[in-house]
Amino acid sequence: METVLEVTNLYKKFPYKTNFFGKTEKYLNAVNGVNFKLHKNEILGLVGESGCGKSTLGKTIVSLEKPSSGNSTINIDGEKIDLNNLDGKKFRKYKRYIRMLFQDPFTSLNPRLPVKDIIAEPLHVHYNYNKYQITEKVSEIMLKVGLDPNYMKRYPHSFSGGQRQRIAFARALIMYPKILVADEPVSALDVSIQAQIINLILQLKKEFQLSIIFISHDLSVVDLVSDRIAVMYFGEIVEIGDKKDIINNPKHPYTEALLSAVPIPNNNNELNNIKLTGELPSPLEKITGCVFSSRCAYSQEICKKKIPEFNNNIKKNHFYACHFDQNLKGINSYLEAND
Amino acid sequence: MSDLNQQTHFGLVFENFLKSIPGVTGMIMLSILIILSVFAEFFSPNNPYKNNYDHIYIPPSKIHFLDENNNFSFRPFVYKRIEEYDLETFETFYKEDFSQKKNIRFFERTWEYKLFNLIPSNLHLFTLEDSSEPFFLLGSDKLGRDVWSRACLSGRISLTLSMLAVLSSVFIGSFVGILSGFYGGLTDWIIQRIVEIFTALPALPLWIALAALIPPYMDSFDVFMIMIFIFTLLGWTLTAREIRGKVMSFAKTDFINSAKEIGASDLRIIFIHIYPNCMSHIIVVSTLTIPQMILSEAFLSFIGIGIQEPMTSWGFMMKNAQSIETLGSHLWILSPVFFIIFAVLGFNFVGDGIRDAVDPYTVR
Repeated sequence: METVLEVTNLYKKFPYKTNFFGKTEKYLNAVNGVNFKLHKNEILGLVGESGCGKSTLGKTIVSLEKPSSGNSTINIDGEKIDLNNLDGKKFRKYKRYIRMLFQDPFTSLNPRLPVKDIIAEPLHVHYNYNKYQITEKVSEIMLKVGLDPNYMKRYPHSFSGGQRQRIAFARALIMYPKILVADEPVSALDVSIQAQIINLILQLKKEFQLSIIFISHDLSVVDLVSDRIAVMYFGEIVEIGDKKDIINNPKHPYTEALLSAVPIPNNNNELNNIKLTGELPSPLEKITGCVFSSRCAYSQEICKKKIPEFNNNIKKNHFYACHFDQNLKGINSYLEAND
Repeated sequence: MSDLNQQTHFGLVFENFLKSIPGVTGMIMLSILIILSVFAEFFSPNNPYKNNYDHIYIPPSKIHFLDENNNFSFRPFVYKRIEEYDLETFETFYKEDFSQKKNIRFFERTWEYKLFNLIPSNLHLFTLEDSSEPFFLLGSDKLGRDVWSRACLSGRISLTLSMLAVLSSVFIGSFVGILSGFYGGLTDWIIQRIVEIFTALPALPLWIALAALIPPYMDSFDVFMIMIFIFTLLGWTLTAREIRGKVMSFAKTDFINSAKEIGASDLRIIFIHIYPNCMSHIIVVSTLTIPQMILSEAFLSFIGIGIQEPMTSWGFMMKNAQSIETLGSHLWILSPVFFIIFAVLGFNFVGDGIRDAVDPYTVR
């Protein structure tokens, strides 16, 4: 399978405390050594709890934030390009291949610009089209995301949440990117609208030959859209693999806990989800053992001392960072209990 | 319906503004003042520049619609004044001679002036039919000049001075504020320390010191420009701070992030995204700063270090009211106070109206 994006050993630290001379004494570790590959035409779901560094990882991949170390490279026609090392014209040239979609369509569209200008802004920045070409391109992309081009001159305030997210899609896709980083694209929307947008994503993926990183905190949404799932905890990817494997055969205790928390409709039984106890480790300190050891039900001595290797792998596509190889409860067990 | 949806932000704001009662009231008040001062000569029955030593400290004329027999006439009139002396205090006072009616005539051609300093004209809204009879709507001052005419004329200086001062401080303040809020870090730190130094300047001593530096024979227009400069110097810091805060709150929003994400230049982000979004805030801040400027100008001119002859402003007109004698016998000299109150209230009302209207997306 062709790889379009490769993230290796990516770290992102934010300055947290500076001393009198302006030198940073303490860093907040948001992303801690992340490795993964994105294949062509696949949707990789990135799940994790709030504050685990999902969005920061997404922003670093699209070069909105500079990584502290490590790199993320995009493969264009066999050429490996690290956006973070480029600037000016070259940066813009390759930026067309990877675009980001923001979470909240109510804040990601400038209220003072008509929809046409919002959608066409990438064209204004990257190309020198005249206004007829721009109008043409905008109406073309609006049709593709399911918007009426007659609404081009309207302002964002006259659109609903779902329509706004479509505008954001049009803006992200107008330069026909290869990779799209979608940062929680549905979590700000109503459930019925969520379904529409998810269908739109699947349709656009086919039409535009997109590879998508789908960031979400909602496992059920990720389950619907993605081909592979990466589970993130505390700035690290703790498990990554095909959707089926992750959902039905989780290997990492954190994935198990996440799956147990997925709400199941018509559940007459008492909630038997796994309740995580214990504290999150401090993001300011260096962690000696497994990141999840403080809250893990299966935690043992070794977990606090040794960092688990990430290359544990049962099939060739399923990686997880745990010392033990256990068969944990997948989503099936909850569905069966319900029947 | 589609028309409504295509409305620009400012269209929506304006629509909302028209719904606010204080806003519209303020707008009307300001329009009255601006029309009065732009067409000051047209509204003046007497030449505001002409000294008339026969008519010193004449109290306001009483305008009647009913004569002594309670007969109503549509045409307003005044009675002839008779000057009398109190034989003990030698104070002059005036009585009305009910036998002599003097009608007020409208759109009469009397003394000549140049409209906008260009178009010669002699048309006036109202004058007295008998030009020998003193006719002062708000009385006359110690040089026998008409207070009403001068107050209309003063509006020009008072309003333009304060508006120009606000305009220039908003210009500088928004530039500095955007620079400081957008770039942050060291730039922000340095700019904020400079702003703090300027806010720490003691305003009153500085004014007096600068006024003392102005030579007494200086051209009054130069004094006017220097006053604008001083107000700008002391006023831009407030705007800079306000706009910095606004820019900082915008800089974290997703639409700025998404502009950065596509690789837009800083200039593009500032002028397409940040500045238009700050604009309504800037307008509110400036309409609410204009009254402060009007008051400071009045204050400076009142204590005698501001506007100089032959220019005149509302504060300058009240300079004569510093003595007990004036306060005791010629209280009408203080009438420009009402113009100041009218202007300040007007601007505050408009500012409040705009502030309520700038966020048209929230439903109240």
